[in-house]
Amino acid sequence: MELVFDLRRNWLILTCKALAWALLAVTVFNIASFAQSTDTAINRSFSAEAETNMYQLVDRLADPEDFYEFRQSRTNLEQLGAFYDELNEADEFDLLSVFDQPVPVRDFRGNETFDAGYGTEGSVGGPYTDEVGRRVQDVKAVQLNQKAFDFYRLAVSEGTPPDWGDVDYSDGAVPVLLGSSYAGVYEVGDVIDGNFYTLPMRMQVTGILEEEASLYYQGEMNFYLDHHLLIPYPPSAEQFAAQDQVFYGILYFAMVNADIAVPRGLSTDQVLGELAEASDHSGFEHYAVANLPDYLLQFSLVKSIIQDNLALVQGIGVLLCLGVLVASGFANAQLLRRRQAKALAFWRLGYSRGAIRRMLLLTALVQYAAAAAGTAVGLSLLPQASPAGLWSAAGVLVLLVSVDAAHESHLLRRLIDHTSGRMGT
Amino acid sequence: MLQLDSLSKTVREPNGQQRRLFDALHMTMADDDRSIAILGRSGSGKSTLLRILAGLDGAYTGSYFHAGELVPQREQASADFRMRHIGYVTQSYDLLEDRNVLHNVRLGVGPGEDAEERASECLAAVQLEGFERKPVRHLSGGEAQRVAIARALAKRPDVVLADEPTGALDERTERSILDLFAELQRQGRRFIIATHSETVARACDRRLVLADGRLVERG
Repeated sequence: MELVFDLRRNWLILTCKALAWALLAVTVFNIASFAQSTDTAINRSFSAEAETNMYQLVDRLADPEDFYEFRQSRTNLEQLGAFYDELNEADEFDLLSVFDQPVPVRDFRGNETFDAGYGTEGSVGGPYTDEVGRRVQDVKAVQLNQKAFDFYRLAVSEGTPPDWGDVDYSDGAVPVLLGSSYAGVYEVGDVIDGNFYTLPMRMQVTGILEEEASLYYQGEMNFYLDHHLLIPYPPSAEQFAAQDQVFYGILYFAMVNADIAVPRGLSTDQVLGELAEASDHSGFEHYAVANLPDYLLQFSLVKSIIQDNLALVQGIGVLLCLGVLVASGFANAQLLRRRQAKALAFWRLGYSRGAIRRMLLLTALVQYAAAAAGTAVGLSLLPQASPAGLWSAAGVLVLLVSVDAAHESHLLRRLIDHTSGRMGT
Repeated sequence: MLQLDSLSKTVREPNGQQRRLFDALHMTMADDDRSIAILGRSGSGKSTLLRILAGLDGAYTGSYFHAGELVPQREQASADFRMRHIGYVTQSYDLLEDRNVLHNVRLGVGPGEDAEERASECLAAVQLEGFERKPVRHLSGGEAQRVAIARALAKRPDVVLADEPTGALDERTERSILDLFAELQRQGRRFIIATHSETVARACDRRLVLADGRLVERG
């Protein structure tokens, strides 16, 4: 009964307190999940090995006619393949071959967020009928070699990475990986039918990437792969040219347009020397190299911004905690003022201090439960799941409950101790 | 029987100095004493004495006996004592304004009783039948004092302690409250009343004057 009277009299203050606590817990959840994902991102994208000099390798066949002419010669393609292979096998540096060529997929199960046009300046194409009458949709896809996969520390959360040595476009299903947003759309083991350039391809899903997997691509430090389909490049480029000259002609150029990650001890001359040697061995000469000085700069800048922001956000979190604690303290003082007459009346009637405290505790428990429920509702509305965030939010609620209970108890003790003084002699 | 034996208490004045409020004070309320008035000038310690008798203030030396048993000075035990044996009416009534008369009186009902029935009986005893659902904030001063007395009676205490029960009332209302005390005494209720009013004191069986830390019987 007392609970009902107390709630009826103090519902506004109690609701404000519970709401403030829930908001703080949700904010702390966000901060903790941000800290966790930042930590993961820094560990994954900003490892010591990634702190390297970066060069960009491009072909010099910019004119479409030259490009077309070059690909008509099988010898040319064999030389190009040999050039790629030599660079790909070099121990001095890592050839990071990455290209984002969308892939038309038949009977695609995903929504528009996977569409090649989604999130770009181009519009979402949606499903369409191809030249042979099949329903297909162009989806985001990235092709890469094993060195890029390893360099950017990509990993799967489900399934396994492809067996890079066995990737063979001419023989059966090609193992592919899917970005984390594909979870629930396709399963590990599913087969996806599509086309890679001109080649019909059956792709078997071997794994799902971890959330927020990203790599450096065309000047973008964190090119996220959550909505992408990942097609591994074959381990070698030399044995395919004869099979489908059109397809492999395009593929080899895509493969050779790559970044080269070079340890900081290796000079530009040494890099150029290695490339010249590969060119001499293979006979392919139509390449150019550009240094990417902005890579390291951007690398350091992004890392520093993330770390600074993390410290700032955590500092704001601590200040918010303190603010809510102080506000709760004022609210408690106000609550006690409103409950003073009741507490004194009960005390004078013969209720013990413990009995009065238990009476007030019931209301406090309702308020704590409301704060927990508010937090649960708030968290259910957030898109991300984060165990660290959940623990932090729960920790903040426990801290608030502990401090609040101790403070309310202290105020009540002072009130009862003060009773004699209030009544005069 | 209530008995204070060699009770002494020192208080700290607002200026920080210590003052001996009670000095080896003695007081006895025998079983056949129906009412005692404690008189004294302001600051003499009437209210403090009542708080000690109620078990609200355990900071004293000496002994306090109830029915031959030493009344404990520890807080928890003295709360139990107060709950079982003492009704206490303050000058400010201590009524809870967010609820009605019946709810207020029910708070005083001891465990194991039909609270509503008992509260109604007590309201009848103070001549407030029909006031059960009335919010206490709508009561007059005299009505509020009666509700406070009804609540003090609700747990069937051995004695009701009343601190300046008519201090804030007009003469006519004071008369009606004194009539009520007289009626309740005829029904077997016992009172100790701290007052500065000679009118109230004359309505009691015994009059004790608190002066210089001691109680002196006055005829």
